[in-house]
Amino acid sequence: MSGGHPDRRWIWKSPFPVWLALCVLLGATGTIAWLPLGIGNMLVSTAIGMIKAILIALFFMHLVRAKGTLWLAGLAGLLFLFTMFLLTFGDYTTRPNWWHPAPVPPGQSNLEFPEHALHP
Amino acid sequence: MSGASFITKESWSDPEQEFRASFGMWVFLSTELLFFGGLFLAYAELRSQNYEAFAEAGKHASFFYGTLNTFILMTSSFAIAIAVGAQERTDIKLVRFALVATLVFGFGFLIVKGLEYHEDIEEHLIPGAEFPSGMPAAQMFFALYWVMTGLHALHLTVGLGVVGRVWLIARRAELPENFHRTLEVSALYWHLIDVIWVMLYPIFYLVGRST
Repeated sequence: MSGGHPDRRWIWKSPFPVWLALCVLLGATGTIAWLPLGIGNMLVSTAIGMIKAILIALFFMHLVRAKGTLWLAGLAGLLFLFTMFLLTFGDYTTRPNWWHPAPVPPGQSNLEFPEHALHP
Repeated sequence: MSGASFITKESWSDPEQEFRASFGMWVFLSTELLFFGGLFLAYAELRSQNYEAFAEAGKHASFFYGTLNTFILMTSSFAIAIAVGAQERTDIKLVRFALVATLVFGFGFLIVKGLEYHEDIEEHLIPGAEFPSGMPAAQMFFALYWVMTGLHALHLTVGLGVVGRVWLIARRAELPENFHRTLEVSALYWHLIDVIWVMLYPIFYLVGRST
C-alpha cells in the first residue's frame, strides 16, 4: 500500500451525504419530540431512529453492495427479533384489560384469565 | 496440517476466506442485535403498560447529553466509513487520520456519557430507596436506562480497543496482506454500536418531552 492519494473527493463522495442525512434526521427527531403529538411522538421518533439505522446499515456497512448471503445473515437477526416481538405482544395484547389494567387486589395476579373465560 | 499453520496470510487473501470473515461478522452482529433486542422488547412491554410513568421519567434523562452523543457517534461512524473508503483507494495517510478521528469521537462519547451519569447520580436517578419519584414504573424506566446505556458503553469500550488495534497496525511501514479485511470487519462492529445507539436515543432521551 502506497502513501498519499490525490483523489480524495471520491472517498468523501459516498459517506458525506449519508452523514448529512443522519444529522438532518437527528435535528428533525430532536425538534418533533417537543411538539404535542400524543402517541405520534413515539411513532415518529421510533420511525426516524429506524430510518437512521437503515441508512447506516445500507451505506456505512455496505449492505447496499453486499452479496445475498450477507443480507441473509443480517436479516436473520431481524426476523427472530420480529418473531420475539410478535409472540410477546400477541400474548400481552390478548389479555383482558391489557392497555389499562384494573387495580389488582392484594394476593392476586392480573395475568390470570377471568373465571368466565376459562369456564363459559 | 497442524492447527497453527491452518490460517495463513495466503488463506486470508483468498476471496472465499474474505467472504467467510464478513459472513462470520454479520452472524455475530445478528446475535448482538438479538442480545439488545430482548432488552428493547422488555422496554416496549413495560412502556405499553406504564405509558404515563415512562413519559414522566423520560423528562429526567438529559436531552442535551443524549443528542450530543448521538451526533458524536454518528460522526465517528462517518469517520470510520471514510477510513474504509480511503483504504479501498490505498490512501493510507487518510486511513490513519480517519481512524484517529474515530477514536477521538469514541472517547468523546464516553466523556459525555460520564458527565451525564454524574448528573444522573447527583439527581439520585438510581432505582432504590432514594429515587425521587414515588412511581415504581419510573424506576423501571431508569433500571432499563442504566442497563441498556451501560451495556452500550461497554460495547463501545470494546470497540475502542478494536479500532485502536487497527490504528496500531495502520501505523506500520509495511501493512499485512489482510489489513483491508481487518479494517472492514472492525468498521462493521463500530457501525453496529452506532445502530444500537440511534435506537436507544428515541426511547430514553425523547420520551415525554411534549407533555
